[in-house]
Amino acid sequence: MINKYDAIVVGTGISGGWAAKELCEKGLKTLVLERGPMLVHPTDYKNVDKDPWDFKGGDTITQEIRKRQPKQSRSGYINTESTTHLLVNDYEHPYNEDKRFDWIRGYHVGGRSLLWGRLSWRLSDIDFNANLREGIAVDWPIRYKDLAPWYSYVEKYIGVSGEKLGLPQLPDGEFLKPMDMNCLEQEFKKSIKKNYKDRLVTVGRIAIITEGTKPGLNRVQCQYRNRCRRGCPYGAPFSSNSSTLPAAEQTGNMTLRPNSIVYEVIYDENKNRAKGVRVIDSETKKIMEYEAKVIFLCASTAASTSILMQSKSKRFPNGLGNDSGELGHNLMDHHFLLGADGVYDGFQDKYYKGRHAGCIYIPRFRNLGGSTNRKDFLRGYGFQGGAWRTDHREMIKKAGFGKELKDAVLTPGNWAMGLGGFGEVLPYHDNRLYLDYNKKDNWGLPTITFDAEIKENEKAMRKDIKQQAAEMLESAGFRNVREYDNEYAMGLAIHEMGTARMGHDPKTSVLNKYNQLHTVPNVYVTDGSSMTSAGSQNPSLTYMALTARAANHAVDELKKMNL
Amino acid sequence: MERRKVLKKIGYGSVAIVASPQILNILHGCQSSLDEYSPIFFTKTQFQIIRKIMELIIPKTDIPGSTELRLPEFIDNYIDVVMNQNDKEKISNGLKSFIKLILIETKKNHSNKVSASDLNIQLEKYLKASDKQIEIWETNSKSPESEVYNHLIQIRSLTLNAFRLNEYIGEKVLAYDPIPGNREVCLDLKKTTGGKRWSL
Repeated sequence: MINKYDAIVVGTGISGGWAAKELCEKGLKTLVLERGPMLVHPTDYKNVDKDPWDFKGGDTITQEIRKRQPKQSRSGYINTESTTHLLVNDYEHPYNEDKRFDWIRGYHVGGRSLLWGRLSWRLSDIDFNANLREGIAVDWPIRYKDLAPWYSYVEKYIGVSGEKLGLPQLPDGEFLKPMDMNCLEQEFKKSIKKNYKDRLVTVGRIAIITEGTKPGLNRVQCQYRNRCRRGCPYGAPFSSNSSTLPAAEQTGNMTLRPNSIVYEVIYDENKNRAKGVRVIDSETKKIMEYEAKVIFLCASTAASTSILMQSKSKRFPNGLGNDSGELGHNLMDHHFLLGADGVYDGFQDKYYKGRHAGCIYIPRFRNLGGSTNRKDFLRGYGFQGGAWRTDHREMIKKAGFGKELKDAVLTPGNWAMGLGGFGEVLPYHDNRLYLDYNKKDNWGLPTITFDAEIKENEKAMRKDIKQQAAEMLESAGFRNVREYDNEYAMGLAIHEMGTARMGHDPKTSVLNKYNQLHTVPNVYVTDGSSMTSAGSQNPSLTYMALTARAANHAVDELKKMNL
Repeated sequence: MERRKVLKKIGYGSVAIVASPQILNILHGCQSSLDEYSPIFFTKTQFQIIRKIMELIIPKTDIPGSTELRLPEFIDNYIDVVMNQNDKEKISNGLKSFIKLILIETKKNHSNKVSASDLNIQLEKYLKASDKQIEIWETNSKSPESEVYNHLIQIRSLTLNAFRLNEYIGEKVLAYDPIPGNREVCLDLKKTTGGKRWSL
């Protein structure tokens, strides 16, 4: 295997796949390194046709799974019997928690692009301006206009279904036809329109093909199985495996090397540039070096940050590009697992067909200016939710046991609806991750320790989330409305971000406006670690747009001999 | 996809159907080993009681009941595979309390003498209790009656979960459509599934 390339991409998830595609399509001989094993679309997908009764526990988290994945089992859903194989063994890949942090990881080609929720929203200038406006952390070095064309570029390629709304806080994109809301969701939408002037209900914008086809490996439209996370044989939901990696492969410019743990970016003190990367083969433990003109770190927030931290040199004793001391700090996620639900009495003769893998959405309506501004917290939240006919609680209670009960549970049950808040976490300097060199992993590498929590702003926001969810349901005629607030710890939204933030000033940030290390311009970091603030929107679409934009910049800079 | 093709070939569409003789024969075939089953979580004596309780909760009608569907065997495995030690102990202790109580009330000296009608009386008392009585049990959770109430509620919940997760119920009784192909909303319930719920 040759060891010199034009570009190296570390990681094959949402960001790595996009970096690979863009760099290869622009003609760069690109080495793509993935720490996990190969996983080919669609032949390597397991359990795609299995029904709940095909699993011992009916597709739940069994005790055997809890033994292997005690930390990831805290999610309560991500590693059930059908998907547990797509997540790492917590003991083989240990990490430490000064404060509880739920780190959900999929180490294989495609990474978490197979497991993601697929909700795809743009950030707006309300988000890009927020830190500057409020004097929080540092200012984003970009604005919406910088990213808008790249959002469009990405959306057209991956396929995002949704509806245009014309909202300043949630810019419209290039949408495929939206998925349909069911009767009760439509009724709820009407009710919110009637009862509230500051908010609306829409269907989730989701990276699933609802019409036609998209590039990649035979990507066709959704079959409404709602089994995206097992790997979709139809390629309807976007993943690196079905979309960007096949595109990169098709160019003939990609060399994909699985089982390759990148642990260091090699710094050339004479040229003030990165020279390449050091890699451990995860199976043979052999150490290798690969060289390239440009390096894209897309290993996921904590992993990319860890690689930079391990990349120590005389010039960078605290980690590559870490003159600011901000590397590892400002760790963010989205806080959630709270809201309200209720039962609805109408539409008893109505039903639906096809299992919707998305949700309904109420875009942020707090702190958008004027009367929407709050004194008790900064930023905002959106609601994700839905209505289903699956609620048999009252029927069960009434029937007790016997034939009446049996007949009742064979019917669709009552309509019920839930609204779950999804809120912004501010970038706090003391929310951080750091390396523990006393606790090494199986490959002799230091392990990551998380030390982060939500604070007063998020806690105040959570009170409002519950209250608003319950009020909206009550105003729409729901009964037995119940507020809930389940235990949330950082990481559980699987939106960890911010630990190598972008900014204007090398003294206070790690990356510049093109996702380059301020001080080592041929290293780009384009995953969640680059985020300067979190917004309340699911972030993956932004990672893709940032990556495509950065790859374009890197190729231009290479042509200009600037790297 | 293969499963759907096979189902289509033997004439089952996407909506609910009634059990065919062939299917029932398969189920009956399984039954031959019913009494040979060695429980994993429950003791043999406990399992006999659980089996009787579950058959009362999901009795045989024109659709097979709990025993015929082997739901007790499923639950025995399910508890073993899914539940942690604390939850297992809670079920075990709840069942012991229930058996103790029923032996006192029926004045019988061994649980294998407890009949379905003995159990039916208890299920009437606990699973068809008034809201007022339920509130008392739920607020005074340490009383022996409260423990039995909570235990029976849990056994009912496990039974319904087993019923929902049963392959025969899922594929042959409920509306089964593994690959819907499209999404339609605001449909007429009767026309769509004959009034049954989707199994997936």
